Amino acid sequence: MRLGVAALALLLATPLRAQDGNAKDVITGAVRAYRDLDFEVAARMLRRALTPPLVTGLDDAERAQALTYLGAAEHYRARHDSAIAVFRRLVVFAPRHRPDTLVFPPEITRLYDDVRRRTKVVAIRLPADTEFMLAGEGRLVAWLYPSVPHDVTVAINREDGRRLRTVFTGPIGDSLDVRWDGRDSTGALATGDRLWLTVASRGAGSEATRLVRVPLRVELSGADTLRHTPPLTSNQLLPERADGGTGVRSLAGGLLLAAGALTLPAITAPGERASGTRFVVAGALGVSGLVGYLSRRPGRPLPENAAINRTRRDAWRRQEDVVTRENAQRMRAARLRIRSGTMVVVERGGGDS
Amino acid sequence: MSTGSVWLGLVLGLPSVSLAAQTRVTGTVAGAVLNVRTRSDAGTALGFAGSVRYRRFEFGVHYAEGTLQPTDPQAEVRDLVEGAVALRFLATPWLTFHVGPQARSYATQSGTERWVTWQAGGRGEAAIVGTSVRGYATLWRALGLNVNLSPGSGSARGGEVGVIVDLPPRPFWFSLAYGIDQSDVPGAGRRETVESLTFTAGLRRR
Repeated sequence: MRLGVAALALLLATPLRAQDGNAKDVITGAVRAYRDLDFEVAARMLRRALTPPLVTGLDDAERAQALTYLGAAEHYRARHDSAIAVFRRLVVFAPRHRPDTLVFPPEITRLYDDVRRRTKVVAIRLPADTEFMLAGEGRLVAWLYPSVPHDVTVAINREDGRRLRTVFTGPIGDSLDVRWDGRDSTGALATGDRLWLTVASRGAGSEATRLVRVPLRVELSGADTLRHTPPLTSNQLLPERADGGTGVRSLAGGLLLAAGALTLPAITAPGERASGTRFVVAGALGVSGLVGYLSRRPGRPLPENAAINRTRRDAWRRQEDVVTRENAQRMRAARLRIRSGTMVVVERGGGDS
Repeated sequence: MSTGSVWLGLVLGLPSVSLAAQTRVTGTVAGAVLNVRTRSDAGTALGFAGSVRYRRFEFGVHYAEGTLQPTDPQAEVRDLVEGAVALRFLATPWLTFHVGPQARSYATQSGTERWVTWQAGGRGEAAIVGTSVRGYATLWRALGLNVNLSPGSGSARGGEVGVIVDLPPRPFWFSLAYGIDQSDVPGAGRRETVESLTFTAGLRRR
């Protein structure tokens, strides 16, 4: 009884295992079917290999090989449109790929070349991680490989599509390497979690027919800059012209202190007969108050306040200069790290020509 | 006079050493002419004052000496020597509190009378003509009073009102002040009232 159950399990498991075999085995089987001219089986197996979850087990070369066989199989199944669609997918995926002429007959390579000529797209190769000093000559280098020579615009964009900097505009032939120093068009550092290196391929018109985008994460390290000094507020500056109360305050202060001088003996030495010397100081204070009142009429400039304000502004400017210089020095020693993600192709709906 | 020399050295030495050591320290040195009056005599004294300030704290010294001529021809001429040390705290730009001792001695042929008071007080300052001319008023009260001739202690209080003229950007400043203080030792039946009119000319290191 136990032996029977085991045999049944084995029987059930075998087809499942064959069905779930790894992607390479499936492609090997598909190629065998293609060579046996069983294009329908080959196409079915290749489509399965190019669909998740199996496709994740393929590297770029294997995916390109699978797409080539699939396009050829569809052609021989007399499904011309499907063949063209598969080859377009292949061109977008690997613009530099060419079918092996020893394996595929001229009618397949001609069809592929025809599709490639009409499909303008660029492949971008970027290092996964680039790090360079801001003060040096370091740059992020991107190598671009087009399917066919055409005009492209290479730019750095924000996530919302806003362009930070145009890196290159013009024709691309066999290949092109573009460099980016991590700055936007104003020269400021373009740091952020979500920037995009975007290559727009243009068709016969000036409209972009296809965008290829690579996400970038730009980090600044070792640039712990100092905070800038907040600008002086009106509370920190003295009025430079007298208002209605300035003169009155001077007069009141002078008279109040004069009164203090006169009454001081009564406060500190009550009952004592004080001399007249206090009148000298009281008079000096009273006269000072009067001078203050007359020289501080409304609208009159207050040079001493202006001088104090000038000193404060100069001090603020000096402090700001120190911060700016220090920050510039720190920024020169700072390093920019750019990490790139996976390339994404966006169709813009424009016709290839 | 030897005491005076020590005070002079202290006053002149302190600001120069501190100012050179730390730029945030500011200070003043000044010479002063005093017209001093008591109940029984009056005269002129010469002196000096100085201070060093670091942030909100200021240390100040003051010294003067002179001769007081009696109003009564039968009385003795007295030599006046006075000195004070104060530690000040600048609570605001216009309000300062201080504490410190003041010693005043009257020397005659028959002996020396010495009054020592420990003062605590406050000073308010107000700008009158811009920041160049400022007025101030000081009031203090004695925390303790000792007189060497009469046994026991007493109370004392005093004040000063004055005007200061700065000459920016030059470092010179002048002041004219009226001060009065009264010391009372009830056990000995002694009360001393001293008035002074002080003209001071000084240098300020900002």
